[in-house]
Amino acid sequence: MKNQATRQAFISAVLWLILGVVVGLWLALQYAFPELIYAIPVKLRTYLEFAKLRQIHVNILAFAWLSLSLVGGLFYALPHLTKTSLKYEPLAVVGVHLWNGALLIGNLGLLFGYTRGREYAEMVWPSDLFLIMAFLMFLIVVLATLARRETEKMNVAVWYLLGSLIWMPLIILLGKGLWKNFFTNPFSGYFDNVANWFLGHNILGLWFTTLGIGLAYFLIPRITHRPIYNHYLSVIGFWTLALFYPAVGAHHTLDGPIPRWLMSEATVFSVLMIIPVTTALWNLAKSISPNWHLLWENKALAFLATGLLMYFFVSLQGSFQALMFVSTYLHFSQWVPAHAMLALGGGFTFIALGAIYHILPRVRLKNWYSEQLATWHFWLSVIGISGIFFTLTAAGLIQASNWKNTIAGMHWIDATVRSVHPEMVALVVSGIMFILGQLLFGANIVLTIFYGSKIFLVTQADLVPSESFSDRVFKFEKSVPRLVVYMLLVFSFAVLTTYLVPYLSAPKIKPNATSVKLNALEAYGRKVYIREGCLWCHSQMVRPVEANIITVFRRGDIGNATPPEWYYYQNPVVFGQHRRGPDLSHVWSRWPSEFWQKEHLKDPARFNPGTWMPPFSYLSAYDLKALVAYLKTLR
Amino acid sequence: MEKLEKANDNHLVHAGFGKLPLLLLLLYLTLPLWAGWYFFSHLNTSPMSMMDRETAKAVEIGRKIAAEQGCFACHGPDGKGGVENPGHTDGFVPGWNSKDLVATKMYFPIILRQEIEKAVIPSMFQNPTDIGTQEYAPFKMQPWLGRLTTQQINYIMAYIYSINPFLQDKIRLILRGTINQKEFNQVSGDINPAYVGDEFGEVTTVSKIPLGTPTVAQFPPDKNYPDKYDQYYQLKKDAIPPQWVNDLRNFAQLINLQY
Repeated sequence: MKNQATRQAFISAVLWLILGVVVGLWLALQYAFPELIYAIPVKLRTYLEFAKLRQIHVNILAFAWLSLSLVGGLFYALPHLTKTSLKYEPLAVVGVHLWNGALLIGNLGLLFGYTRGREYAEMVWPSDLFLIMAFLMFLIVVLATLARRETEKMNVAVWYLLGSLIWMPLIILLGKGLWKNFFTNPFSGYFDNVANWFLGHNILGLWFTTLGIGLAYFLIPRITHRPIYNHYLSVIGFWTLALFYPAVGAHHTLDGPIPRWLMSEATVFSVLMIIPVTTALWNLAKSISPNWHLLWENKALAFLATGLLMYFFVSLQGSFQALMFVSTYLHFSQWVPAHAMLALGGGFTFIALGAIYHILPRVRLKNWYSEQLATWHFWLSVIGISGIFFTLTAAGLIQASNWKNTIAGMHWIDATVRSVHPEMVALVVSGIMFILGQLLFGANIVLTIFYGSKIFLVTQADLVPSESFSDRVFKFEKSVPRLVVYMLLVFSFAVLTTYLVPYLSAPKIKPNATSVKLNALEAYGRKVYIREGCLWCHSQMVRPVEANIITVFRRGDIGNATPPEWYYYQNPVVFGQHRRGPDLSHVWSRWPSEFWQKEHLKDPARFNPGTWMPPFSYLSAYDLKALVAYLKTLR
Repeated sequence: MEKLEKANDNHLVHAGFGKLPLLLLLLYLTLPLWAGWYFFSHLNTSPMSMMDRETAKAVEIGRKIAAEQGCFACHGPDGKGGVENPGHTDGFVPGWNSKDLVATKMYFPIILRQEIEKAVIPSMFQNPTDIGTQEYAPFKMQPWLGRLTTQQINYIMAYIYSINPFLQDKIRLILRGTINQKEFNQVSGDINPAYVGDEFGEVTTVSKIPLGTPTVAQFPPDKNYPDKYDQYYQLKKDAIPPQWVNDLRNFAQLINLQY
């Protein structure tokens, strides 16, 4: 049957979406009512605690829902962009199911404690194997289709979609270090951190962004019956994105123990991202603008335009928070998850939903069962994601300002957790609205498949036609090899500066007295630390600006800044991006008691009522002993 | 809803040629210029970790900040010997190189930092209104919290430690472990259950008030303070908190102090 790849990708993507948002609701509930975990039987808590499910939430929604739905859109778009049929379509179907398999294995692994402990790279090697195989199949299908295309030049959408498939496997191979060791993480210390964020941000930059914007470049001309506004803007937007985006990874550890030039480069390119973002968005907005009325008539366009607006806003926000002085204030707070939620849960999710609204009727040859359900879906999603974004942002601002004022003696738990309780309750409400929207969407799809009326396509007449066409065709638009070579060349700039140079210069950092080397028990304790997901809420990175600021009790303080030698032996590096719990770099200086540590791990709420930390009473005595032995090394 | 508009793929072949907006052209020109300037001007502003690396520089930066902020107006040229302060018991604002700083235990960075940030001196730990020898003096120390960043205050502290030989002697003694000052309880004024160590073998709560909340909040006035904490205080009151020693080591490294 035709369009099998798209159909199966969409169906599995929507199933993942609903699973992912339900997991998200459980996380939000744990923020708002942390005592809920005590209602769960002790044996089950290990599968329901915050940190493990946080990884699963991110992996399901980013790598399963978003990736599969956007890839499904790609397989529908490509034949239309090239005026031919999809070649080797069964291969694409197999690829989609390999992808499903990779995510299933990866997420089950995370549930049972198999994790790489690196953000956005959590899934273990069987998943990587499946993903790489899926990428190979996708590439074969796409390149074969492009080779037999009937159009001479390739549309801008093709550049974006092809680029995603060219860059993403390379990013996984480089960022996870698969080229060096396929099974475990081969890097440690400074370079591990660099490689991790090379991967972490490029997944957003050269996978979700390129797929999402590529689909927008395909769908908007199709829906509005007008070509893209300006060809030069398409060219500038694409190549500047490819040049600027991959070099921003280091902004995740601004002011941390990494070389200053790497931070400056990250800040510079994060701000330069304004250029591709405004260029592409201006181009797309101008393509829609003669037909604004379509926003009210066409659900797909409504979702697309809303998604693009959110993408625009979140990108400018990203450039803003990559500035050093902003980052030092806001980093580690809930502001950061808010930013990520708006990018993936807002921008690209809306673009993917728009793609499904446009494409599903055409591949199923059925009309949407209910237009009203779609309207409810749209508004519930908009209100839901806005609620999620604004509550998390407000919580982040409150936390950041509290942390600056803890010098006045504010207790850490008051500053971070108790003060944002109202926001977290609002987060749950927003989350429920978002989930309701997605459930209606799922119901609409099921009803459409089983009870949808047969489609018949008509040509819409009342659209404003385009006046001017560009006859300028660049050489790279006409030749796939040339396009691929250019893509690799532009990408190699970031690989060179933010991957290869740090890789070669990493040996310059030599271990010294501050470097922590672990014995067998402590190393096992560190494994427990990563397995139970402590690093998803506790940072281990003190920046010079906040060194020695009192954050916990009046007597204890956050401690000295983290020197680059300190984490020389760490594999993986567990700097962390969040402070839902206090920084643990010097935890043993503040709480130098084995007994206290164990009691606190078993039942943290007894010591800090309302804490977000789940009780780890389900850990075995040996695990607890090892964990405390590891904490003992954090002085 | 039986019909769906037919999409026309011809629009995917052509590309438009609309007007290029001035705003974008301006962005293309200005942002790369800014980027170049930012990158090269921020290349060497500070190495990986300011506190740990810029040893010789930190002292010099501290002197400069102190001069800019007007510290030397009262504490004397380069902080060495202060101006007359008739109501003060000594008759002078203490110079940063004077022995007075030892008497007020300024060799602990946490105490010196409180003095600079909040103008809090040890006599105020017991009685917040007691400003000690400054009471009738025209020149009183000002709190600098909010006017200086933590980093700037660190630099000034490094400068103070670098010019005061009396403080340096004390720092050496503490870092060698030869003296163990009775300072443990001076700053926060109470023992926190968080610090009740392994010696007691169990954690105590007072009438359902959970441990870990600040002690002030934990023991309302009508509750009896349990013996355990008194015992623990007796046991630990002579110890210097490990973090204070860490701080000292940090500053010793910053001013190249051998011990």
